[in-house]
Amino acid sequence: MTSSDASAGDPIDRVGAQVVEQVVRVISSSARLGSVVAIDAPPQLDAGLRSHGFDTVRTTADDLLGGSTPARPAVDGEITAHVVFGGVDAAVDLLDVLELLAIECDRVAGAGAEPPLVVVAVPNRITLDELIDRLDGGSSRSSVGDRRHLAAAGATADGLTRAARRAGFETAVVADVAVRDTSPPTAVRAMLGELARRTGHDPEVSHLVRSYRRNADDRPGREDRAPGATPFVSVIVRTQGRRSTLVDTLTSLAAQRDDDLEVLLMAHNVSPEELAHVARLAGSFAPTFGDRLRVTEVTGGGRSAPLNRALEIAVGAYVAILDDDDVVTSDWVAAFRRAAERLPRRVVRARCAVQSIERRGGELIDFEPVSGLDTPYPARFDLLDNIRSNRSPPCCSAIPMWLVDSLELRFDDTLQVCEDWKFQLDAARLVGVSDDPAVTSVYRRWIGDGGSAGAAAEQVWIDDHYRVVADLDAEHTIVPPGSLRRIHELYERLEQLETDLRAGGSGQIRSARSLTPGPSIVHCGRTVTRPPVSRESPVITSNCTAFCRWSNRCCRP
Amino acid sequence: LTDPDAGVTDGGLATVGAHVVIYDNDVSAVVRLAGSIGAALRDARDQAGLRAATVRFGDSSRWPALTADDERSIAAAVADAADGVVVDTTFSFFGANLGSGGGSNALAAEGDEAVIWVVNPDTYVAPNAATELLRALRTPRTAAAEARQIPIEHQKAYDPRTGETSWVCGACVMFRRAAFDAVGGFDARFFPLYCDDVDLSWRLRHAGWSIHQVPRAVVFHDKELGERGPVAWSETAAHSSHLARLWLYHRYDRPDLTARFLDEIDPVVDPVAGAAIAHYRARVAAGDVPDPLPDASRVATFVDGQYAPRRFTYAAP
Repeated sequence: MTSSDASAGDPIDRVGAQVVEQVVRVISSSARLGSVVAIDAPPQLDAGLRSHGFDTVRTTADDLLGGSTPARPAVDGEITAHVVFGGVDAAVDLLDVLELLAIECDRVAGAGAEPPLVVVAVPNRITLDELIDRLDGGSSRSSVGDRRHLAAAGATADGLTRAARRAGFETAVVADVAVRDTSPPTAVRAMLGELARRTGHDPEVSHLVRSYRRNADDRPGREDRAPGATPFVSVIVRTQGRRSTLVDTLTSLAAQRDDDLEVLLMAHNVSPEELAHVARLAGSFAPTFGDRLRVTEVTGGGRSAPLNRALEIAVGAYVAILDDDDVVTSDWVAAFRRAAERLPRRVVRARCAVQSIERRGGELIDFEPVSGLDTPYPARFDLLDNIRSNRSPPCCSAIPMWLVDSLELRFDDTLQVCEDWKFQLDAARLVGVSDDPAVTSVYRRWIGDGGSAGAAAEQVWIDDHYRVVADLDAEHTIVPPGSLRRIHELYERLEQLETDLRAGGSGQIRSARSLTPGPSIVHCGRTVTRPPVSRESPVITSNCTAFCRWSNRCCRP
Repeated sequence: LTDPDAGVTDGGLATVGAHVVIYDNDVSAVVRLAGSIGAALRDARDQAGLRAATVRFGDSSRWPALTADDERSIAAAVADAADGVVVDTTFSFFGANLGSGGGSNALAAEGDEAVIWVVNPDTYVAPNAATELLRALRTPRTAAAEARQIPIEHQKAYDPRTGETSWVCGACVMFRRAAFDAVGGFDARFFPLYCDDVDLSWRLRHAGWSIHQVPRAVVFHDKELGERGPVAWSETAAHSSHLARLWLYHRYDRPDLTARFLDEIDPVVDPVAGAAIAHYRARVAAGDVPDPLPDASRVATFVDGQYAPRRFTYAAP
């Protein structure tokens, strides 16, 4: 242990001074007056804390972990905070230090006193390799809280959070030190910056300064589950407990040949009677399936609320979504696995058929198919085509969980509809899609009342459709090879059509091959009001084409 | 005619024999099915007054498809899900391919439960299936109750108020034993693979019973999906289907349809149908034909190649 009356020591740079200043601010605003145990701290900290009435007791992580100094050094007053600095030259194993401090916190709490505050200040370890690792699934979440992220050179933001959580702490205050670059970024730098921020790494943060409170009851994260306990896919089934089709959905899941799945049945805004009905149905399956099925009640929020809650508790390697009127074939999971094995780390997708159903008022059943099967969606996912409109209903695909975790992908709860399209498109544009050619699901399209298309007003669909495009367009999108040629062709085609129109009206338009891989959208001939996509763009009316295939709002057969 | 309600009361349908005829099926699929049957029978005990059930597996494979371990796994799956309502799970190796109908008849002869529940081996029954089928079967004069299939729902029409229909599919159907026995069960001789259920349905209706679709009861029937519906049949299945159609025409007194079928099929264009016709002619020449039913046309429905009107139509495979 060094003297609490440390000298000013070596000078520190501007950033170092900012870090010390932040640490002092966090401690002075959150900890009771007393002594602060400073671990590997720069000498300048002492003066800062002293100016706020704190005494400083200095030690090093080496001494602490080596047992040559205790976590509770002898001081005259009460120890109200520990602060751990992880510098470039410090041989700090942060997780071990935090675990030691957790024991000390418990000891203090056991004696009836308030446990000390724990503050960590470490360099933000964000490198291009680290970023790519996160965006390519390479870490596969197995590096959770691993010591690689907590080595001397600093920590990543989420690595620090996980380490603290594993040690039994919850984050109290985030006071990171940022060094902002005010010059306009290049395109590559901007894109990498966007991606880094989405993975929880702000590249402009030089030091992570965070305080923690002891919370031994904090739930372990998904990443802390036991090895081998991961099902291949978590299937989220969203229900309001009213559709008799739910038994179809669950039975088709129970019949999977590849049963490496968990089913999260999210009962959203249900009455006690509806919840009891859902729970009774779930409990009536054979244990081989029932043991994989969990019912969770979610109250409040819109359509995204049960999905986002499910993302918090899902433990599968992939996550898929079914509505409570979808049915799947017995190789639905197997097809996802085939696609995942062919191209790992991608969104996986198979084909779906569409069947129209109508509500019935009879005693026997409350719905009935009114059509055979059709497969209107393209066999292969095409990013540009899916940006135009959703050609891939939710039951077609599964998203890698590492991507959900890395980017903190969530369903946009500000959208009333189209939230699943945005979620899928956001994932697909970053990591691509691996397709399996099998038709493995039946998307039931309600004619008239009954489905989400009917539940929301037409203008809501239109508004949210453009919202999704505008939101995603606010960030960079990685388009696959071949996209530039297709955009070029689209421009050529558009120019040709404009030329033809000027020459002689619509009757003179020459037929040209479709540039979209799917079937052509049938125009209903109506016009819709399109909201502005940016502050500068006007509100315009245009031909209604956006929703004909997906929501069947405009072009009913 | 048999008196449809002779000796039958609502309380009399409290025992079930659940019968599955397998033929080299994937064992893990049979184990899954066994669990689903057990769970459905448990639900029927809790919701529909079922007192006891026996689950019987009959093996039509050339060589035994199940090992002793397999049988233990299947029996355990039933027991784990059934919570005591199943008194026994049995296994019979037939030593010959009896077909689905013949195998079902053999299993029916092994027991005396009031209700015979025929379940295809490539299915998974929903937990509510037995409950809903039993409830429907307790309607007077009802001989058979069929579950709604997913993911490919059958398109045949039924009365939206009563569920009464032309025929019931054998994938997941409950029969009153009294009715089943009275008409002699399935005719496996002429309908070894296809239309044994159509024929049995029509004979039940001919005897004065009604048969019903129960859309609330759900069964997953493992079908591969094509672009527009079910995938195309194999040649063997198509052959059997053509031949079964001709026997139905024969038994149900529709020589006009037989003549049209024989006239319209060009064996060169459709060699599978041509082979079925050749098979048919040879058996007719040998006198090996089903006995015609008197006044049969009142129960037989032939519409556009189907055996019932359709509510909707799948595209041809």
